[in-house]
Amino acid sequence: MLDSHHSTVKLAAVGVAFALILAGCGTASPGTAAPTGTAAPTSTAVVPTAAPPVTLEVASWVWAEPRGADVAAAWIDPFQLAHPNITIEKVTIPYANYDNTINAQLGTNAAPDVLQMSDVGFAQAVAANRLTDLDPLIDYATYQPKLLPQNEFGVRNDTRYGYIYSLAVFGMFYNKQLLDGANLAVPTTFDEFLAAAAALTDTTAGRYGFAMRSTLAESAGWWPMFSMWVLGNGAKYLDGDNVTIDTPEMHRAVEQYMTMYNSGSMLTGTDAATFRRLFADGGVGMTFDNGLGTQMASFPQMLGNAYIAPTPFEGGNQLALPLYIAISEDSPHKAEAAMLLEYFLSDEVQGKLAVALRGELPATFDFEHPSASYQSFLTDAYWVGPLESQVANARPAIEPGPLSILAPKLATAILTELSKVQSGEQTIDEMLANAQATVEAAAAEL
Amino acid sequence: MQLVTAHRKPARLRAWWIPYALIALPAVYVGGIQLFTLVRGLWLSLSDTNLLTPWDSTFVGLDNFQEVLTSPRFADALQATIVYVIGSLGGALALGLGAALILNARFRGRRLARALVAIPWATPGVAVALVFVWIFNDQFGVLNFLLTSAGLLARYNTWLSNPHNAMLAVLIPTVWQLFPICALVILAALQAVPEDLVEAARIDRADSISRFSAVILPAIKPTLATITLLATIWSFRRFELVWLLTQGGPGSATNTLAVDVYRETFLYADLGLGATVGMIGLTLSMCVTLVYFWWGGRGSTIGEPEVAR
Repeated sequence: MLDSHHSTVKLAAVGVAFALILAGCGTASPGTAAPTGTAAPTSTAVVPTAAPPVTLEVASWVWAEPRGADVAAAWIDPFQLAHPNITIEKVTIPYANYDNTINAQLGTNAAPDVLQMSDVGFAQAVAANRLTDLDPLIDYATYQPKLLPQNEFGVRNDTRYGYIYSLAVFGMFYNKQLLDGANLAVPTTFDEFLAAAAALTDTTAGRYGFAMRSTLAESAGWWPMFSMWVLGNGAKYLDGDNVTIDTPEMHRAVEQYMTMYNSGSMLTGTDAATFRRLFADGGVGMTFDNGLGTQMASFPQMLGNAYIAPTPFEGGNQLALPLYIAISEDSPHKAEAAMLLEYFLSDEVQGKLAVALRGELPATFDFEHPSASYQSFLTDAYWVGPLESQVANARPAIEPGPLSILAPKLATAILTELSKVQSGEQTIDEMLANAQATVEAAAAEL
Repeated sequence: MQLVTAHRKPARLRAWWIPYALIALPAVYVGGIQLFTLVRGLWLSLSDTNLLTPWDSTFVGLDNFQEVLTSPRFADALQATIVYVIGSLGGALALGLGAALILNARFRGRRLARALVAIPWATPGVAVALVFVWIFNDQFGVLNFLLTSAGLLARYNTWLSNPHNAMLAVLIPTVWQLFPICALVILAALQAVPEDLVEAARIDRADSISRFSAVILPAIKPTLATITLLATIWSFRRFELVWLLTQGGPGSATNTLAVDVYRETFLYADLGLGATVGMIGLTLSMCVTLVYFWWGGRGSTIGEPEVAR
């Protein structure tokens, strides 16, 4: 029989132990702490020679990709060798969840020090003052002569918050063997494009002339691919303070897209992983996409047969998505992060990155005097040449401006209404009117 | 020699505090976490808060609720949610009840069957979604292949990209994943039905349908009510299947409240509006729970089977 006094003592001891455990596990409520970022130094920071050890977190979705190792070898690894007191921790976040994850981390003051950012995520972070002004840390004039002009998109409200990490240039991929086999030239107009897709389609053999993302389930990738039609037709979603969705140019873009969608030559409702595989195996003749070099690493059967051309629209622009590199406002190691960024912008690293990125262009790129390693890379990477010629004519889907913060809502509005046109629920006119109204209402709330 | 009797407290005084002590710590833990998040969510729904600067909130009163409730998109989301909940609940309960009745019968391999039926429930939702994306593929999906081969379809159909079929396409994997837990819970209740009552009904020459309706169903009704409540709340909260299959599309065909919460909070970085939609969803779930307890309190005690009259 238990002694009642001992039972009481035992139970009380257990209770105290639990209370201590809970107290030890308790953390501050997320999102209630004020920001703890240190003030940016007023001049380029100098790290003392006997520098204490520092760990820098560098976030990128590239670390998860096949080229991630090459990018790290070009940039991260040599920096660590040169700066033994600085340890780089690569933070890998898949592209599909990247913006959401970084935004949540910025909101809890737990974001990595150095951030690769999409154009949408960059705009959101800038609007919320979560990124560091880079001009006090990095001498812009040192790098300006070689910077791609798209680096100016990193300037918002006269403040430089980011440099280009890479420029993802989108284009029309085509299977040369299929085109040659059908005696087709690379299309340069929409009519040629439509005809070529029809000629390449043989549904009994499971082959389609054209494929691209076309479902809301892949809206993150559908958005830039659809925007290729928009930019190619000279249309714009936004123009300064104005929403310019319901325009004749946009109508033409959507009309051409729907003509292709309903033609029977386009592989619809299929995800990118599937149609990229089909393209590699000759099941799709043409696609709108980016990252051909990265895809070739996964599908070596494409080598020698897959090429890139500008989108077959007349008088418009090509699409290039600027991807930025920035420093979190909360980083306690801004000086070290700036050192990493300056090393990133150096000729040595930029030359290696031009190879490692496999077709995406880095922040500084000298078209007239490419590095020796890039010359060697071009010998094998035959597909890169057309990309370079597209850069001058390449724009992002939404250029920086007073309404660019609306990009997520604008993209959702456009793609939601477009999906209704695809399913026959509404006309193109209704789509554009509805999207225009939705975005104008969102703009009015700013 | 005198016997010394140790003074002992009465049993009720000795033991009264033990239950409270035992539930106090989990209550503090649950209350601290759950209550805090509830209050925080309520505050966020009354404020203009950006995901990237959650400490910088501006109180806006009921403006968020007005914006959400008057939005055509919310009406679509509410409709989609109700259809989704009713569809998944109905399908899971019907399939679950049928499976439970089968598994309650005696047949060779019954134990293996009971283990296998749990597989859909145990499969991660992400894996289920990715496989069903393939099953529903417009050009290469096995569903189209099987239906056209069986002569049930004249030509390949569009599923996830068709607003008329998308909700059905989302409900199928949902029901597939949800029915096992319904089956196993109902099976446990079936096994508690007194065999002599069933035997008595059999002796009285009641057919199987009569035995089920007069003896079995009243006995398992409390369990059915409980699993209905749980499945309803789960369906209200279901996110990953819908998001991975359709992201709420095409159009707004499958845009449920859970999808809207995610979109507002993480894509638009608007914590205030996201919390508002979440509060509305919570209110709907609570209404269902209140209906459950009100209905359960009428004429019977919750947890006690009704006695067939």
